[in-house]
Amino acid sequence: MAPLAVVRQRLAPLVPPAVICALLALVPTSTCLVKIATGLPCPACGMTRASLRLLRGDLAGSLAMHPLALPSALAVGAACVLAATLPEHHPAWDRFVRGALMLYGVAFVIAWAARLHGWLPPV
Amino acid sequence: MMQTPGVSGMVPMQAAGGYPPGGFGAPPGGGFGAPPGGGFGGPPGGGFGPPPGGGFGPPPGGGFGPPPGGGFGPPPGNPYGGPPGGGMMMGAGRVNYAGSGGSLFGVYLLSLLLPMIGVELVAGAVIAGVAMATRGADGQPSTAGSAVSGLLMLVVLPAILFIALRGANALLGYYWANVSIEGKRCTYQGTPGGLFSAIFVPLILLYCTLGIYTPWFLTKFKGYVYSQVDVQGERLQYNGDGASLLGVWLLGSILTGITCGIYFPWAHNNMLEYEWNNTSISGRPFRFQKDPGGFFGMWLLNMALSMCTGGIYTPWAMSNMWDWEAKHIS
Repeated sequence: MAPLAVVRQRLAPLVPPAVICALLALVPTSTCLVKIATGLPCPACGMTRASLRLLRGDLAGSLAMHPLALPSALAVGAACVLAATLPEHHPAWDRFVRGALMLYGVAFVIAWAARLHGWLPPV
Repeated sequence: MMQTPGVSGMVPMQAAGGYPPGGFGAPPGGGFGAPPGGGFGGPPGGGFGPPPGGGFGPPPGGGFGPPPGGGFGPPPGNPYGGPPGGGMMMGAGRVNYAGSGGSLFGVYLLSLLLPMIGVELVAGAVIAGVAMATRGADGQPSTAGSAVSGLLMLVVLPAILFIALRGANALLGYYWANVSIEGKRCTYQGTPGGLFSAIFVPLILLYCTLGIYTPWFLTKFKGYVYSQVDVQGERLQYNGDGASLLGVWLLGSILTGITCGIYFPWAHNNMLEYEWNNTSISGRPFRFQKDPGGFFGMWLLNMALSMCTGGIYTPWAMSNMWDWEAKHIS
């Protein structure tokens, strides 16, 4: 088990986006600058709503809103487990973070392209 | 807005390495387009150019901008140390960035956003009042009223410029206050007036040349920032020049445009490598370890979050980028 300070340090970057997105979920209109300016969705548009649907157990609705909501939830879960179990300075943590970020980068671009092409429901 | 040092001219805000915090570029929150001067916006160190924003392509200052001066990362044993457990990425290096998105948000809010909103609200109210008070019987603004409104704009525009410079200087100060190089704390001594003097003519040339002057602009900006940074008695030196940077910047800009922004992580890494490899402290050079693959996902997520949150997440995104940059300097 990693020390609590190490676990906090590893998971700290997840907190600000979670808090900000949770607060903005209360806003009834879109807060996305790209959506407001162009009318087109950005790569992450729909993630908050998809996450809320996932929390309510609506898996199909979550995947329709944004296909990466479920994988994101699983990745966050894996991050929590690894952050707590990997010893301090273990190289696997850096590799996990780097690999996850790379995968997400590619996945977001693919999902965004699919949405812009109409292969995913509009948000 | 400017790009922090290290800006590749495409992302508004770039981490240190010579890009002013926030860098030059599109407004915070990124945006699609390449920031002027490259980098995500122009955070301190990255240059302050068009509002941070970055995003895909060359946003005017867009995005997160380059961090001021660039370079982060504490050497082992540094009092600021690296994050316990190594944080998200590699361990401590020569440069350490100890700032956080939360505190940066405060600086951003108080030094830039609120003053800008205040001036625009007051100016808008005054101009609207003048227009209403001087309108003719047909409800249209009179000639005199339009003239007075135009004159008022001449007052408002310099006020906005002053706020932008003051905000950029504050972000530069924040960035350098949270950077340590080889265990030594950095202090930024620049002023808004000094910043204006240093970049006014290069900025004019930048716009006159439709952006081609960007590498020289970044060099001059970096030179000014470095001249104002004290590393406990030592000074940073930048040995690069606009002519040799031109190729790196131009190729990156063109490829980023052609690929609709997808090439940006590679272009940004090339720019950071050029900048840091041409930076030294008392003759001791720095080296930047490129990692475009690792940068790609982080950059995209930071940008998407910044855009989706209406720009609110931008300070955290800037902090993440600066921290990432610091950890790749040896």
